[in-house]
Amino acid sequence: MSQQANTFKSIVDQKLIKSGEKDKLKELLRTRLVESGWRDDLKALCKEVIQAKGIETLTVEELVQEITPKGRAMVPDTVRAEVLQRIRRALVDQND
Amino acid sequence: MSGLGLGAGLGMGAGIGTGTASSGVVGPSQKAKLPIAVSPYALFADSISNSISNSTGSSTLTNSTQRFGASCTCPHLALLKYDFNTDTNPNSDSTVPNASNPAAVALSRSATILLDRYRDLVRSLLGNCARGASFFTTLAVNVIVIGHFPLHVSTNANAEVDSSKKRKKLSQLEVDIGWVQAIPLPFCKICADTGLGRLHACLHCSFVGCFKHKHINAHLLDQNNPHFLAVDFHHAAIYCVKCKDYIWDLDFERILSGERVRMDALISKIKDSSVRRSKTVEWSPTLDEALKIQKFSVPLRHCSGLRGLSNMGSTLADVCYVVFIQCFMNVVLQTFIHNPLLRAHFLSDKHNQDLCPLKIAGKICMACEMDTLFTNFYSGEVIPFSPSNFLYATWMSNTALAHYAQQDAHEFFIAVLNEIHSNCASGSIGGKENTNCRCVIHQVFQGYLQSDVTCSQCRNVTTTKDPILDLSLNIKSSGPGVNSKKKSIGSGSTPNLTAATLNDTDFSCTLVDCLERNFAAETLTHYQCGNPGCAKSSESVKHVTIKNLPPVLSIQLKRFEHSGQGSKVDTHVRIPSELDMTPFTTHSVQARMEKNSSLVAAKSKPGVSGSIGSYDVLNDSVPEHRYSLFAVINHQGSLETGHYTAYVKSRGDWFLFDDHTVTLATQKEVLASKVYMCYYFSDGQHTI
Repeated sequence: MSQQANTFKSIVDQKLIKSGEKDKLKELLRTRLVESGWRDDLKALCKEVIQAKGIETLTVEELVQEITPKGRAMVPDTVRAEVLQRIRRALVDQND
Repeated sequence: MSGLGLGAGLGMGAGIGTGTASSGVVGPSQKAKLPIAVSPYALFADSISNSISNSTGSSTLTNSTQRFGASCTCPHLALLKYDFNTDTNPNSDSTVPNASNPAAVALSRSATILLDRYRDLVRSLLGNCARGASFFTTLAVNVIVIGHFPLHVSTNANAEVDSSKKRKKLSQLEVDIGWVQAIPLPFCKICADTGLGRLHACLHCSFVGCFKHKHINAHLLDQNNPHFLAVDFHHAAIYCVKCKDYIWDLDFERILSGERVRMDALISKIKDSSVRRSKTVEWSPTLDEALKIQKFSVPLRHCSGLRGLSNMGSTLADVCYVVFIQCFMNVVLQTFIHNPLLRAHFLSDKHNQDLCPLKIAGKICMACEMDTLFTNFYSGEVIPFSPSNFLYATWMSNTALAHYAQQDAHEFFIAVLNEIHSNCASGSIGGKENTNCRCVIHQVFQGYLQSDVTCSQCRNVTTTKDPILDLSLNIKSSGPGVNSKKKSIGSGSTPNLTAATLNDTDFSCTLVDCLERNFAAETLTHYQCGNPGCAKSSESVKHVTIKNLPPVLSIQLKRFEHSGQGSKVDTHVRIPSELDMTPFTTHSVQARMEKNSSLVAAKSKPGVSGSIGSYDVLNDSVPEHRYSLFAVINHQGSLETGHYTAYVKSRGDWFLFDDHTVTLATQKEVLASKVYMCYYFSDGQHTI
């Protein structure tokens, strides 16, 4: 099942890249995340983690591992919905 | 950027080093040729290596990092670069006694290869970004991407030969965008991920792997090969698997900044060949200068430049409106102090009050007052500063301001700009407007608006250009038309979107909405057409667009209505921290109109001919104009009485300035505040 999901994911990914829509989506997502303050919050979170673990001992991998799930959870639902909507529309437009 | 920056702690973040961004066009081969004394970091490395000068020059890790610590943060790379093992570079033995000067030590051959590979990679990824950001002309992409697509990213050797053959043909043809997209995108060799997984390219071979699934790590940790460095495909940062961290190296950094400058030059050349780009002149201090810099430089303090402005109500208590005056002046001054371009101008001693002819003649010079202000803000004092002299100078030089009791921050802002301009532009005082004044104010704030009036009768277009120092936008009560776009985004199959959040977005209008309304086409009645063949007065359509955008964009939201009774518009306007002004430029509007007309001719799609700021309509060939927010002025209270506060961004953090108090703020607070004026600076590639 996950194998199927993965192939589907990469197909969608390829399609979006080919139409050039992906870059626009990335931009949109970036803007929305900045607007909503997500970036600000994530930065603060990173600072916390770094301070808690000590800059000398912490590696990038650890930081990424720690932050990623929290960052995902923090994405506002409105942003999620908007991007999803965009992807749908882009795919529909392409198939037309 | 430079070793000096490292040693003295004057990073680019301070924005003081105005010229450092352009200093990076030195390749490894040139570097070796540099005379010993010229190397800016030699001095600092010198002092470090003096302490170990008695060492035998052995190949221990610690030794090499101590010696080259100033230019590289990774001991493994330093070891490779200067090759203490002396197996490939026979000269390194002779250079060891000379090691007090790292610049004199030649780079090892393997390091030179790495640097070359890095340059190739940077070129390809910059080209990739350019293609991705879709602001490139097709031609530009061809020159860059096809010209330099490196061998080790393209997996197929035949493809490379093909592209070099095609290059000749294509450069003559008007190339289709389809070809550009036919260039293979980099992808992970193992899981074929194309970018979501943070791609890294191995610096030693042609492997490309993703960070997400640790494929790049697996490659670098492979015992069969000695590879340990990889380049992030988005930020061009170098990752060392032995350090388990991203590393920094002066030589690589120079390549990166050099390539960025080159790319910029290329873009601007293709974009508009008539515009001459100023040549970047590399500067490195002579021994004398370097000594002086070392002697006089002080480490950058925390919170340097952050200082409250005290309310002088106590000293001028007899003047009843002083409190109000104070805060409107304070907020504007804070935005000046933290304006990166003004800061660079004054801190780099471009206006020296000891040499100012006006000051010497005993007259009042606002630019000198600004200079004093900057000196005081960066003096290290922490007690609130009283800008009494500045206030005095304003009163003396601008009588209108002195007598007008109900001052407004925006009026004050404009008045100060004009004063500084007239004090600075001593050579061209006569032509105040419409001339190419090169004073600091016009260099920083001036843009041009273009208005095209099209006569509906004879289609004759009258074009006028007006200089502007800032944009003033109307905030009308948001009618149904404003929110329709928001709703169309939210509606449809989005079950996650609750009614509450929808309402939330409905209530406020955004800055982009205001811009759209202000730059929308306007219909003029009773228009007297200038065309001699069409003398009738008739209807016409007026289009205002931005011809030239200023480096610092100041936007005022008209919250005060002076007509009749006078009232304050209290609508909350949501501002973005990053603003794209591209949709409002003349270039973009024209491109869009052409595209639209061709679309209508073919078959109009329902969704495409949408609103002005929509992402769909962004034309591919339009260059981007991206702005970042750095200061916001708020007004609380009513029209008659009220209080001004300012949020200002300083070295990545937001601060709230409320007269004499300065407190840390978050971006969320800033964006949620009731904005009266906001300041954006243009995001070049190298801005702070």
